[in-house]
Amino acid sequence: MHKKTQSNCYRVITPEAKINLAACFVTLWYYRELIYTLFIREIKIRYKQTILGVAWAVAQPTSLTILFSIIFGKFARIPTEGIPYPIFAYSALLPWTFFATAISFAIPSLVRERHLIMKVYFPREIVPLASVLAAGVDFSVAAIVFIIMILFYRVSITIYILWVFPLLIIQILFTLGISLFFCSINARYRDVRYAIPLLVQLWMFATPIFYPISVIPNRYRMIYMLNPMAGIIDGYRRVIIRGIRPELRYMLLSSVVSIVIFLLAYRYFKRSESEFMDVI
Amino acid sequence: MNSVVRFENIYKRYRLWSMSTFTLREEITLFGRRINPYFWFRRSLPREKDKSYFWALNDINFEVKNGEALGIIGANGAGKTTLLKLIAGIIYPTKGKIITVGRLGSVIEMGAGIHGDLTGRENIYLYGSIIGMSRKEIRQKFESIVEFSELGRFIDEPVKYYSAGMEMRLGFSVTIHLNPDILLIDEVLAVGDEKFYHKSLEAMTKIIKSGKTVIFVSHNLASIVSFCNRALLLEKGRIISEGSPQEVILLYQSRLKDTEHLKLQGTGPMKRWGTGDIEIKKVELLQDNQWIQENRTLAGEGWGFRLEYEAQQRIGAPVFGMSIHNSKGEVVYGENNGFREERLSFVKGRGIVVFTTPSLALPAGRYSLTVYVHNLGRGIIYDWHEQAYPFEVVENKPMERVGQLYLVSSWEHQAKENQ
Repeated sequence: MHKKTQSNCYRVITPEAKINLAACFVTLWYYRELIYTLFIREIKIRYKQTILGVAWAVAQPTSLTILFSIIFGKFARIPTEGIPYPIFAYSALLPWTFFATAISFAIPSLVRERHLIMKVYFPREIVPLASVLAAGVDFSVAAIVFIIMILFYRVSITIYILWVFPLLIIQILFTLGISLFFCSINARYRDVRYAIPLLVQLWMFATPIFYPISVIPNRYRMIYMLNPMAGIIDGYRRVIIRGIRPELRYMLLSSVVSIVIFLLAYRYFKRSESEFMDVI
Repeated sequence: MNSVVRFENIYKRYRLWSMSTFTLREEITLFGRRINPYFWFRRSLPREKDKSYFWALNDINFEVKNGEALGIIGANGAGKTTLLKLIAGIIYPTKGKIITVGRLGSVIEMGAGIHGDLTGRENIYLYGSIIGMSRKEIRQKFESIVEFSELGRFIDEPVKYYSAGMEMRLGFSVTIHLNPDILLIDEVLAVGDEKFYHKSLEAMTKIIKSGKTVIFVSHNLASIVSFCNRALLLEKGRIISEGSPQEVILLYQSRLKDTEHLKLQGTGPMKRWGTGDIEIKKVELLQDNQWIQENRTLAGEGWGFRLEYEAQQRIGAPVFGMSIHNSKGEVVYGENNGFREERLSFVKGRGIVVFTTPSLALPAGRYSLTVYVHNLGRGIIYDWHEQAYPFEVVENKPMERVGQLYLVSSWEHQAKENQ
C-alpha cells in the first residue's frame, strides 16, 4: 500500500498496511488534474463517431418515460398521487439512468483501462471515479428535458427544491460505493460484467420508478427502504414535483446506508488493490 | 548522497493460474474466515500450495543513490520488468519494503493510454497528465512536444489514422518532456524509423547525462555501458551480481554460455559455443596490402574480415559482433551491429557479413579476433568464436611511435611572417 506525505515525494510501499482513508482522499486531491483529464477523455470518446452524440443521453429516460406512460399510466392506471404520469416517471428515470449508466461504465472500467493502469501508477479508484463523473454529464443533458417538462406541466417549485443537492451527493456516494466494490471484484472475476445488466434491471423494479412508494405495504416499508435508491428517488419526487419536504427517516436511512457502503467499498477496494493488480 | 530508491528484502510472488485451484468458492470461504472472529485468533487461513505460485523476485536488496544511473540486466523472465513495476508502485511486493524519494517518471511502455479516437493534441494532454505532468506544464511544453514528434499538421487528426511509427513518436515526445527526479525506462528505445531512433537516443542520453537518477532496463548491453554507472544482474528473480556495467555484462555473457544448450561446443581446437541456429561457417581476414603475408597486416592500413554464415531457418534480429584481444587476452576493441543502422531485422539461409575499418589503429603486436552472432535480448548465443582468429600487426617503420594506439597522422607547419 502506498503512503504519501509531502505531496508526491516520499513513498513507502509494503505489502500490507493499514488503510488510511483520509490519506486516500488527500492523494485524490493531489491527482485532481488527472481526474479531470480522464473525465474529459471519457466523455470525449463516449460519443465519438456517433451522429446523435449526446442526444443518446436523453434517449434512454425519454423512451422509457413514453413507454411507461402508455403502459402504466394509461392502461394499468398506477396511482401517482395526482402527478401527471410522464413527469412522475421522468423524475425517477432521470436519476435512475444516472445511477445505471454510471455503474455500467464504472464497474468494467478498470479492466477496460488495464493497459493504462499496468503501465503507470496513479490511484486506481480514479478510473471508476472518472466514469461516474462522465455519467453525470449525460445526467445534466437529460435534466434539460426535465426542466422543459416542469415548465410544461406548470409544476410549482418550492424552497424544498434545495434538497436536490444533498440528495445528489448521497446518490453519487452510493454510486461510487457500488462501483468501487464491484470494480474490484470484476478485476478478478469477469463474471461481474455479465451480471451488471441483470443487476440493473432487477434493481430498477425494486426502486419506486414507475410506481409510487405508497404501493409498498407499511410493514415491508422499512425493509424496502434499505435500498438507498428508493429513498433517494422518492426524495427527488417529493422535493421537486410535489414541493414538500422529504420523509426525514427515509433520508436518514438512505444517507447512512450510502455512506457506510461507500466507506466500506473504498476500503475494500484499497485492500484488494495489491491482489487485483497481479491478475487484472 | 542519499539513496532515492531502496529495496529491503523484497519478494514478489505470482499465482500460476494453470496450477491453481483457487476459485471463487475458495475466495468466499476465505472471506468468511476473515470476518469470522474465531479465525482472528487462530489466524489459520487455507494453506497455500507451493506449486501454484511462482516467485518472480527473491530477496532483492539494493539502493540507488541520487544522480546514479543503474542498469538492470538479465534474460527474459529474470524479473526485470517486475522490479521496475514495483518501483513505479504499479504492483505490490509480497514481502519487504520499498522506499522511493522524489517524483517518479515511469516509462514502462510508452504510449499507454493513448486513445485512437482522440486527436494527437488531445492525446498529448491526456498522456501527459497520465504520466504525471500538470496541464500547465503540458501547455508550456506543447510546442516543443509537437516539434519533437515531427507530426506537424497531423496533430489535429485522430490517432487511429496514424501509422504505428507516428503513434510511437507521439508517445515518446511526451515522455521525453516529463521532468521527473527518478526516471524508469524499460525498453523504449526500439521505436520508430532510423532517423527518429537516433533522435530519441540522443534525447535520452541528454536526460541521463543531466544528472537525473535513472533506472534502466534494456537488452541492449551497449546502451547500458554507455548510460549507466552501475549495473545489476538478475537471474531467476535473484540479484547475481552488482557492480560496474562492464564487469556485470562480462559475467552475464559468461553465465549465458554456461547455461545455454550448446550444440557447437568443443568442435575443433578453438573455443567455440552457441546453439548453432546461425552458424559462422568461415571467417577470412581482409587487408589492403596484398604483398604482405597472410594474417599479418600493416598498422594504419585498411583492415577487416569477411564472415560467412548459414541459418537453417528464419532468425529474427540477430546481432553480429567482434572484438580484438591483445596477446594477454584483454579486449582492446569490440563492437557489434546491434546498435547501429546496419543492424539486421532477420536472416535466413546463407549470407555474408563484412566488417571493415579504413585504418587499423593498433600498434605492432600479436592479436586475435573474436567473432560472434547472438541475440542477447532473448538470451541466445547462436555462435561464438572466442579469440579464434590470430593475426599480427607490423609497423612500416617500427620504433617511431609509442603507445597503445597507432594513429594515421601527419604534421604540418606554417611559419607566421616575422614582424
